[in-house]
Amino acid sequence: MKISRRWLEDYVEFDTLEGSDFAELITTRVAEVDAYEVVGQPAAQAIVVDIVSVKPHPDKEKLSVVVINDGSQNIEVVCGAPNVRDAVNSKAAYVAPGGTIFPGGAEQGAQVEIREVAGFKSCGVLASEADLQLSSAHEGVLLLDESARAGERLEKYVGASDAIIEIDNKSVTHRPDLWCHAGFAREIAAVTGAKLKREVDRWADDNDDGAKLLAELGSGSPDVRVEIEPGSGCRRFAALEIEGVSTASSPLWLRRRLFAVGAGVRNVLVDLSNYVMHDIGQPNHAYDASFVKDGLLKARRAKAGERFVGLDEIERELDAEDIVIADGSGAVALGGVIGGLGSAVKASTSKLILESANFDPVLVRKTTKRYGLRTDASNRFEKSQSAYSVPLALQRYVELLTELHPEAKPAAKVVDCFLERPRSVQVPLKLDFVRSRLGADLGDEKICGILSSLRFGMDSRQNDEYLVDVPYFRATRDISIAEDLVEEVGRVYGYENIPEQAPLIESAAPQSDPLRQLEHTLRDKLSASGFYEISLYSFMGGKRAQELGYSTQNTVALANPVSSEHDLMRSTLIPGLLAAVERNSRYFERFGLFEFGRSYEAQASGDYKQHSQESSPTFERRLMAIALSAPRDELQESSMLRPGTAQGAAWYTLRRELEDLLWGALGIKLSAGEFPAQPQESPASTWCDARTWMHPFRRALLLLGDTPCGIISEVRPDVLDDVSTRVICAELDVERLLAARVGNDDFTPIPKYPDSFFEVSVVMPRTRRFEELDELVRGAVDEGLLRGIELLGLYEGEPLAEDEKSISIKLLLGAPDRTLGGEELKTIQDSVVAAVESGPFALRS
Amino acid sequence: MTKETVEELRRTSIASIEAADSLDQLDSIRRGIVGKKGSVTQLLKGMGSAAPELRKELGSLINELKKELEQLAESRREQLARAAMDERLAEEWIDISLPVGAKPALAGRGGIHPLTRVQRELEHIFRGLGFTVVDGPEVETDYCNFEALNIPDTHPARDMQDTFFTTCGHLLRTHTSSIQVRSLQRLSPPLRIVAPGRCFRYERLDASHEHTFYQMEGMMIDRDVNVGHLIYFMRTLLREIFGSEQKIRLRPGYFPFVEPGFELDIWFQGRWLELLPCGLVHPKVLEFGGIDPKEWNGFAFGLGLSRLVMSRFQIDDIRHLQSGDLRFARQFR
Repeated sequence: MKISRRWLEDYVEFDTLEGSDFAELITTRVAEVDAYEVVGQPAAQAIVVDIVSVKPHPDKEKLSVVVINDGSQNIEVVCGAPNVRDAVNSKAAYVAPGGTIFPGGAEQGAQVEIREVAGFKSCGVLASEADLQLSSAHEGVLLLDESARAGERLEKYVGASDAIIEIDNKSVTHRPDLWCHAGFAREIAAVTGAKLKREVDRWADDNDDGAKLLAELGSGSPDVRVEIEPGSGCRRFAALEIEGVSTASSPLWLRRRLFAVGAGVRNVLVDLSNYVMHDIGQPNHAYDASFVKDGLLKARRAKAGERFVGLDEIERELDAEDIVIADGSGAVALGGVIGGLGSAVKASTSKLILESANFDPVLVRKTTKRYGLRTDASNRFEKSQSAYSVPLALQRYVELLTELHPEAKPAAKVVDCFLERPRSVQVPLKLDFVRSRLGADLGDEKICGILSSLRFGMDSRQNDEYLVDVPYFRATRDISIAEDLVEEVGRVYGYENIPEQAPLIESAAPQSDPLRQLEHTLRDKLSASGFYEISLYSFMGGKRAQELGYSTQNTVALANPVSSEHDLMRSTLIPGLLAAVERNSRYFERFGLFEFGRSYEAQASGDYKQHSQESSPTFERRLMAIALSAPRDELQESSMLRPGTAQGAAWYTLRRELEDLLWGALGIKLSAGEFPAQPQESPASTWCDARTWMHPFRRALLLLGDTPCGIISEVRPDVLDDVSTRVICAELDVERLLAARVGNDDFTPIPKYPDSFFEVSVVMPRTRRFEELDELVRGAVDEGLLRGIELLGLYEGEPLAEDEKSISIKLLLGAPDRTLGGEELKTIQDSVVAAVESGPFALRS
Repeated sequence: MTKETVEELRRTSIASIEAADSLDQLDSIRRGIVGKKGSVTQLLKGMGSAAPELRKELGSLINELKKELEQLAESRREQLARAAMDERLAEEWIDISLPVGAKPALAGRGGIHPLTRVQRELEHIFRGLGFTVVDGPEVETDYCNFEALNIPDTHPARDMQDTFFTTCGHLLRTHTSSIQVRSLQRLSPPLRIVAPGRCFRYERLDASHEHTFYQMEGMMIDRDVNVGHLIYFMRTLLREIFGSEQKIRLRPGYFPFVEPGFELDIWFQGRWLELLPCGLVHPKVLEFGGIDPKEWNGFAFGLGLSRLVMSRFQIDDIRHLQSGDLRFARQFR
């Protein structure tokens, strides 16, 4: 919302506050100032000139060569404005070279120079109102009436520069009274102690004096009737007939002000209606009386399907919840939102009916949302305007119109249908409550003084409790409890004046949050290993997810997604992570990424315990996802892998990384197993099944004991765009990891007797797993004696057959009570060999 | 030429496309059908021989056939490509149970996301001040995000926050304030909590607007909490974050769930930066949380975490934070 400083100065004196100080004062005491911009400065440099002669340019049809006189000399300028041709002997606005104008209302100012225009030297500019930032009129040169004298400063006739104060609308959402100049003037008076020059509130009829003034506004019996259908949402409807009007254009000062607040300009009747709203806040509407059928204006609910054409020339089919104003034949206005086209003021209008009414804010708001139609009027009504402001618009309109056009006058007395007079609001307040809430030792006088300056009535009092009278313009919703008054006192007193104060509170240790701690620990460890944390959107595209093999059943869909690539809440971090890998592959080859984030499922599987989100509307899983990108040439990687094979080096590395991570952070042992042959379709498994994106021969379910806690897989090259590296991804459920944390940290005694060991090399088919061998060996040795099995090496190639490999392991053995003897070791060794050879494996000789 | 000619060509073409069992073979079959000299193309060129009254119908029939066969060839191509890839991948079989894998996979140190880093510092500071760190859902109910914060459905303040809705009638929390009523219901006063987390607003993206951002909610409920206490905590917080006393400004700010409500700005690089909306918890919110406002009151604040991170590290574009771009991430070690 825009406020004009000159306009404010009509109401209150505050000369001493300049620019940024003024903005700072408003911001810290009243509402947030977004910008403070001085406009109309070119008018200060402009002067009045006589137009001496005008000749058409010999070649250019649209240009004129104009000789002007600035009071001392003749000057020649070339001018393109059509209105200059008939303007010989008129007075016009002129900016000399060196001055600044905003050509045609441009955002940026431009310096006026002596220029060569189409063969003529042009010294300066005959300026339009837009050039001078006075209004948006840019078609013609600003002409002045006879009283202007050449050589005098233009300011003398059009007023000095103004400043536009742009208020952040959000900061006045709760203040219906601040949507106008009079309202801001009240606040400025209260916070600066300045005196108000004009008291608009005396016209409000929340008291007998106001009611009397309203009754005196016109006389005679009215032609128009007003009615309100009870329950329609219209709370008050007043109308005044005004005759002797004509649709002249508005004077410059009025247009200038409307321009300053960003309102359009039509004719004086419409412009005044707008002006009055920006002036005193009460929306109002002028009807052409001859287009109001049967002299009736009735507020009622729209009939479902009723059609209405607004001033915006759009026809709408109305809803039974809309409020309309109807004449004898149908809707002539959408109540509180927009007037109708048919009954609007026209060039021929000679008598008008001025409406000033009050509407239910909730209904107005619903209507604006229904049609996506927000207007200056609806913006004010939805903030809950007081019904007692209704007379202000009628009075102000009449006052201004008759000043400008004395022939116009009220044709009859005001007709007013006021269904229910809002009760006055009184708030009980103990001044100690104000002091205690603010934490500031304010005297009684200070508190009462501030509240009085804001028009709160402090007259009634019982012992130490005041019954504070809330002024009508703040009693609609804004102020209703003592806390509201604390804010009023605090902001005017100035929050910077409140001393900071350490509270006296019991010192209790905050509750711990193991899940958060775990996430932080994992982050530390991963970053120490060279991985970088990234943070991605919570959305995913349904189409892409399906391509990657994720079902979109049980996902949470957005009703208003930003794009089709982001139409679902992610049910896994993988699609986002893969996209991040693709993007980064352009710049990096070997890199590691991880993300901690949530996935969202429409519902959780029954057995899942949620960490801390009772009654969460969807199931949010806490996930950790990791990606490792490594060069495709596996020989290059093989140096990372010892002992063994180049095959799958990056995969093994990431798995080891995870094993170490979880062992280090939680003391839990992770293992990699096969995915179940059949994918499970339960909601709980959506994130840990085999998926299309996975390399079918390099994927595994991650297990803690028998419980799946995540997946690891190389990414199929054909699901990635322009990625030439091998990419391994893993996704783990952090809550499941936490749940598996080993609580037992008892000490195990250090073995008293040393390890014994022996090594075995086994030849086995290439695609048989180490774990099979491991199992055979473990089955052959007394559990109490086996301290561990180490992989020593893996070999493929000559002299082994092509589909064979050899694995060498080392068995570590020992007993708690003795050193194992040679005989005993031999027995174990024999049983291991026998076990190995019982299957499809052979001892390597 | 008749419709039967076209139908016959359709049958044989489909059979040969489906019979293709390598990409090369498919390619030559495809060219033989829809290529420049392919059978379908030839048929189209030979339209002159058809009866004039049939030409139009046949023409569109052949064109449709062409489209159909091209699609078929494409889907067969995808099948074959995937099968070829599967075959190649089969050669890449690895023993997932092999206990190998040596570190380091990556050279040097990695790094932690700046949002996490700042969030962690804040968690640390607040734990030191006796605040418990709590969490709440990101997909929220209207009740927790609006209603219980004294923002009924009809309230104009709803327009202050453009909201993402899910198709089942929930929403993505527009602020971490949704944690307030959850905490009030779950914990009993006196209480001190902070809740960092991800929030969402329906916004067009540009250098200073993101639909995904982070806030940290804080709330203290005790007896006779006042504005001076709020200022004390906010000053302490900012001193800890920035390492020195900060110039701040407290000004009126409107949020339906606090009364009085403030915006706390810090003076940053020559201008005021809006950082901390805060205020005394509105008695209605306490009531929604099942707490008697006559006995207890408190303050709440919502720290703009993303904004703090941006000013702290002088990040020029908010979109970097959620970009997943390593060129961004690796600057934070």
